[in-house]
Amino acid sequence: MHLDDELIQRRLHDELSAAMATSVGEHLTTCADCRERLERARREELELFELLGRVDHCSPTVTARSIAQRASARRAGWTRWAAAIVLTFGVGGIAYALPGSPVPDWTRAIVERVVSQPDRPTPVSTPEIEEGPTSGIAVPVGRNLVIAFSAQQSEGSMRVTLTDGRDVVVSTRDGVASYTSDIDRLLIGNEGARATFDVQIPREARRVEIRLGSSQILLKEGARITAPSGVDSGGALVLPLRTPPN
Amino acid sequence: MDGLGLSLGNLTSITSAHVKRREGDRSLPDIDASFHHRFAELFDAQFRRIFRYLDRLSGDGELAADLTQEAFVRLYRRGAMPDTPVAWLITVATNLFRNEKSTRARRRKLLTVARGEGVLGDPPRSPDEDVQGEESRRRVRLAIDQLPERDRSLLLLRAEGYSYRDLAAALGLNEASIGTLLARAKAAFRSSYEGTFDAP
Repeated sequence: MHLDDELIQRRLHDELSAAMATSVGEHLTTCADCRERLERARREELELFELLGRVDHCSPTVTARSIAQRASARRAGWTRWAAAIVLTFGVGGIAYALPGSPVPDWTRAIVERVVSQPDRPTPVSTPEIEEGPTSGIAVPVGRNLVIAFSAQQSEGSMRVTLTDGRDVVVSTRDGVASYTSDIDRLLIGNEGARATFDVQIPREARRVEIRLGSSQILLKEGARITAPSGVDSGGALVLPLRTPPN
Repeated sequence: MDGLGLSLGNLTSITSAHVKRREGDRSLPDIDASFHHRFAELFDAQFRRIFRYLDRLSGDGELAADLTQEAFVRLYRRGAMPDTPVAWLITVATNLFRNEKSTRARRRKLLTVARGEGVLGDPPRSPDEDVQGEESRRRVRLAIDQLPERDRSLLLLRAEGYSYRDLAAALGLNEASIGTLLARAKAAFRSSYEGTFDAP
């Protein structure tokens, strides 16, 4: 009976109990195969750890003092805010309670002004454009992002808008799609004949490219946008999810 | 060599200086002096290991430095040692990395600037050596990244010499099977690394 991986590794790392160490040691004196396996495991581990060392970066210059100071500073910052809030409310309360203070009158005037405002008009209900669940994804935009739609859709389209947000958001309420994001790529697995995608691109994004299969259908580089379609009444670019026939 | 400017003598003075400073500062929890000593010892023993673990895990030295410091800041602010401080630190560091990975994955650098030995004063390498070294690093990085998360952590933590007990506690594994899991992780790494020679 030979040593299994568990025992070989434990022997290698000196993790055997005293009883097991004796037993394994006795076995190794009589079993050349296991001795060879142990030596090979030792050799391979050395090689592996040497390889791991190749991707190391320099350690930062950090001391226990700097860690302690950082921890203290953060706590102190939080408590300063809490103290400021408590102080504000405390001073406000005292000012309100003082005899002859104008603060109660000011407060009353503000409350009356708010209460006496005419009723707000009842919001007019707007018809829902689409029903059903929304599927989508939001990804922080890096230096470069390629949004790739996997398939053409004969009745599919996308509505592209620029936002002040920091994420590229792609969603659909009437289509079926799967989303896969990588460092510089967002792959949308769109299916079926019909789907309307909303694509929101941050204005600050440096470079965003939208591709349909192998064709580029939109390119945003800085403030410049290159796309074949026009702008709709809502200020969005509407692009079909099909490439024109050659 | 690694720029970790710390010594035990230094730490004793840090501790007492900090305790004195705290006499007028009640913003911190009431941390006793023994905690400071234990913290300093733990920092001395673990900072570089946790940093190297996170560095190899993430491939991003700056991120690893930030997360390692954050783990120790959290321990300090805790004001008391956990039952298993080493496992606690590893768990916190790994969780910080996971969180960071999920929120900042896309912001991470596309290419990692690997450590240049020249910075440490070794003789300059020839262009051929540079190319080979870079290629080798790329393959190691790829092999690490291809490992399942558990295998990756297990392998990288063991490379830092952590005991089976610490590994089991930090990664939520059965201590009795750590050796077997390690053997599999090593085999998976070797297979991935050797596979990269065939990759384009």
